[in-house]
Amino acid sequence: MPKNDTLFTPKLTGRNYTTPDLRAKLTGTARFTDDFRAEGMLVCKLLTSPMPHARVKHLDTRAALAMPGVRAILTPDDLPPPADSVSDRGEVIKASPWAEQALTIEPHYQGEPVLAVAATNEAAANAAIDVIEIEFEPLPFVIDPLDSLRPGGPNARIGGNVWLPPQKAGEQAMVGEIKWTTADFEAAGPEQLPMGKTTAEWSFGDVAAGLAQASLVLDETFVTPNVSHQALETRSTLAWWENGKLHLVAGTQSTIQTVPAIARWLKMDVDDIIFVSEYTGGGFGGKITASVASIIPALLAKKTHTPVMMRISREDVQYIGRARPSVIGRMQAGFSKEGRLLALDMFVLMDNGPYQQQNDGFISGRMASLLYQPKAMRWRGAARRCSPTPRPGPPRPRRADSRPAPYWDRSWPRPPAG
Amino acid sequence: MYDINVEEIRPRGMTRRQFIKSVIAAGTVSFSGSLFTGPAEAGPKTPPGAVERLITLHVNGQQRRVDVMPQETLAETLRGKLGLTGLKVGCDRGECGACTVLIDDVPQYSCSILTSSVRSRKILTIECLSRPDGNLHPLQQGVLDEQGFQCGYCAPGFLMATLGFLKTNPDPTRQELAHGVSGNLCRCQDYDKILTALMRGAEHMRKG
Repeated sequence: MPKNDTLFTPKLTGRNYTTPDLRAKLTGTARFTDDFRAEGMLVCKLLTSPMPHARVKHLDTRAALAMPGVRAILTPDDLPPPADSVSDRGEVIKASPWAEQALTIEPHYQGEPVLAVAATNEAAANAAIDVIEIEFEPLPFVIDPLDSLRPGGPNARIGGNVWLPPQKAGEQAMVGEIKWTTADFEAAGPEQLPMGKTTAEWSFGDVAAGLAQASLVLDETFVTPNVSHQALETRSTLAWWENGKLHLVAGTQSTIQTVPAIARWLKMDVDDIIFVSEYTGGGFGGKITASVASIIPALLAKKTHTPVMMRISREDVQYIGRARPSVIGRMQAGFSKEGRLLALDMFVLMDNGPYQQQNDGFISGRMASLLYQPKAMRWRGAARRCSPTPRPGPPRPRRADSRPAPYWDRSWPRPPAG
Repeated sequence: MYDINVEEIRPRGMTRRQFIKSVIAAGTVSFSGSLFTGPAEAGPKTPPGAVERLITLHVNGQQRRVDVMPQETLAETLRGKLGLTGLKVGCDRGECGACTVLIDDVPQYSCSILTSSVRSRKILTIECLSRPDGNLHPLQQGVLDEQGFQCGYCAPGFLMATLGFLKTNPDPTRQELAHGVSGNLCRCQDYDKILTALMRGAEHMRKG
């Protein structure tokens, strides 16, 4: 390090020290969200979708509301409408009609929250959920993103199976439809990923010439898995209101990203939110912001004028707990005799999950370019499939976890479905 | 060897001040007693006979009177009714070990034990380890010295599992200790450092 660097003034580097949080963690006094209590607090449980894509046809909560201990039921009608957001660069981005909501009458993945019940105890909340009359109409769904691209394949959402780039600045990506042709699938054969129409592309250098000059050309298909974060602490959230301000207790990796997200979801001023996150029991990218479900106890607390703890179980986490999305890819790499990478032709298909488009597919191209320094490269991505996996991607994936090398899994071809 | 009986952890016994504090603590958590269970309000799904019974538990060297339901787990009672939130419920199905406590010196998953089945047993939780004056138990001190654990959610379970294991094998090899805590998961994948820290703690305990 340069001696005259005034910005780098290490106080701890190279020294032994104890982090200030460790003693509390070792004595059991560290308070994680589930350890908080508020006077008279209610417990909230979720009614979740039993199907990967469905619409609520019939709903009657009267019997549940009349049960002892039940204080309120929150439905999608109680949610504020989706709000515009402001990007890191200050641009206003209009609210997307396809954005994920805390509760929905058209769930897009199995386990997606539909209703929430607040009751004086967990047993009463669960008993109320059991007597809610609710009927679902099943809708088409997709588990494997490739299936949605087959000719005549099902769409994950009504209206399409891919995210198309925004038409102009300030607009959100739009849901659209792309199907590949039978010829696309036949050209690839059973051993390789078909390469049909994509939604985005970039390149530099002369890829065709690089491949032509190469002494060795590899053409291989790869798969990275969906990775569920499974932090040991679930996503429980406690909320109450005091003097017009919302107090919200939740684990997060970034308070500075969580508070504006909650403000946007609730259409509130950030100054009216008091966010408490004393300790977080693991996040691994899955708790960068709070999840949209964290507004459920806030709205129930408002409705009941009582603090509400949304206790999330490990089973709930399997559904609403987020995951890093899977990427299916194919690479043609041309090497010189000396082993220099002359050209890289990369094609990826990302399992986006049903909601906001994820960036991992795009980042995979940049990572490959950065790591392997090809002289010429083309990246093509049908990276914005929206398919209802049981595990939607994280709200704002920022981590560079899509770097290909360590995660390459040559498990292609996949076994036939069923 | 450092004995894990609470009488030796707190050799001076309970002071009057501690006693009053414990009574206050028991009182202040009573409102949350309905968090998990609720006989009159649980609706038609409540199994017949699921009424709370006042029982006495032996927890951290104290006799604690507490109302429990027949189907209530020890983790629910300790966290929800006795305010001992040090143990964590990570999975609630006997897999992650974050809820580990000692029952008669044997590490057990408190999420998988019915409270009513351990009335006459001696229960120790993470809260009993450090002394009232704030001094850490040698095992905790060892982990602190080595900066073990990251997020710390699994730490109370690991510490209690280690204490129980060291009771049977006070001078284990690293591999033996790894086997001893193999019922505890750390999702930060910090196992190597945790083992180093626990080995240091075991060393401190042997020195007394």
